[in-house]
Amino acid sequence: MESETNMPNLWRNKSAHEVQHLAIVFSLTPDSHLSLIYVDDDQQPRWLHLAWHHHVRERPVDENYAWGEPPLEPELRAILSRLCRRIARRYVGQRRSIAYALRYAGGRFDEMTGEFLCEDGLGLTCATFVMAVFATRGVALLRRQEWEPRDEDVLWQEKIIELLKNARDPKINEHVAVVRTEVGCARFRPEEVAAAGVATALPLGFREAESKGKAIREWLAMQIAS
Amino acid sequence: MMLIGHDDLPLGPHPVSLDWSPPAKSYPGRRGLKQTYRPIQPEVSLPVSLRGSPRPPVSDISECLDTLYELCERHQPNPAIDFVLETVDELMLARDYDTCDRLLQRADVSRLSTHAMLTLLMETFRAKGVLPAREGFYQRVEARLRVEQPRRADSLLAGRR
Repeated sequence: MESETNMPNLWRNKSAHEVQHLAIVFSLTPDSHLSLIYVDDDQQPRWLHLAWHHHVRERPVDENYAWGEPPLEPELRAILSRLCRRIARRYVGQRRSIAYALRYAGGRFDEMTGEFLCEDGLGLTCATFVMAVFATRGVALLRRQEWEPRDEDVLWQEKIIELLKNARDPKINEHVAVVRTEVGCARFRPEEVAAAGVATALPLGFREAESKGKAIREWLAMQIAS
Repeated sequence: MMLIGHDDLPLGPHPVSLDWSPPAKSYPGRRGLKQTYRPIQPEVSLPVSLRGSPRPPVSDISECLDTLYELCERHQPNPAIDFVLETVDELMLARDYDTCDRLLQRADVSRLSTHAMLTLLMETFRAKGVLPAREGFYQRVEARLRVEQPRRADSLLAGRR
């Protein structure tokens, strides 16, 4: 309960059916993962996320999740949820959809086709996928320029490179070779992007996102342990 | 069965049987190992030049706006949002900025829902440099929101200009 009271009041482990239009979901499985829940026409909440290299996943959900709603007016969240619906229709089930890569430099989705437009970088992570969905409608979750490379992220990035080698993609060797050059870049950790779900205003700066993200992660780990 | 050969039909390149028809398939729409559905493509299609010019995405601005006003009157936000998204996206894809600009110029904000107004602003944000009427549309939206939703006007419009 202590961790519960310390948490900002928007972040709870609660039913997906309580989501109003759109929410950011944080999970530990046991690695941290970031995703979205959006509400479709039939009021059914649906879980949308970049699960892995060229694997955009979407399915209806009924379970409880740790989620938060970004501080946007409901009308804006409604518009963003329609974008999620478009992205799902464009990408889910496709053999090639969105590549997994390390560096994010502000890419977004084309509104017409749902195509991911890399302004720079080679693809997305689960966390930058969420950032890109919001960026498409001109909503910046984080002040990206404040993120600096951190030594402790290099281990995670090396691990991703190793896992990517086993991805089912005929062009994976070429992809791995270029993603390897991104090792050492600034990482937007899932819990830091999740902090936008408990923010009072956007975009979040690094200090605030880092501290809130850490609190979210610890809180969820305690929830799981108990 | 009557066969017509080269000698009988010099204009036809292949021998043809008049009562020939393609063999029926059990699953005409399913192809490949996965047997997933794919619509059957006609083997012969008209040359591109005979298909005519592509239809402009918005052929009549008044009609388009009337449709949008009707959707807004239903008080169901999603159809109005989807209509704006599709209309503006098609115009952007066709690079028809003039039509998009006229759409913004003629849009009567008093007949639009908040969702529709905001979707129009968000969708046209990326092309604001080539849409001179967008600024006027923004000001009309802002004026209406300041009267109708004074407390939320700033947060609704933040970053939309």
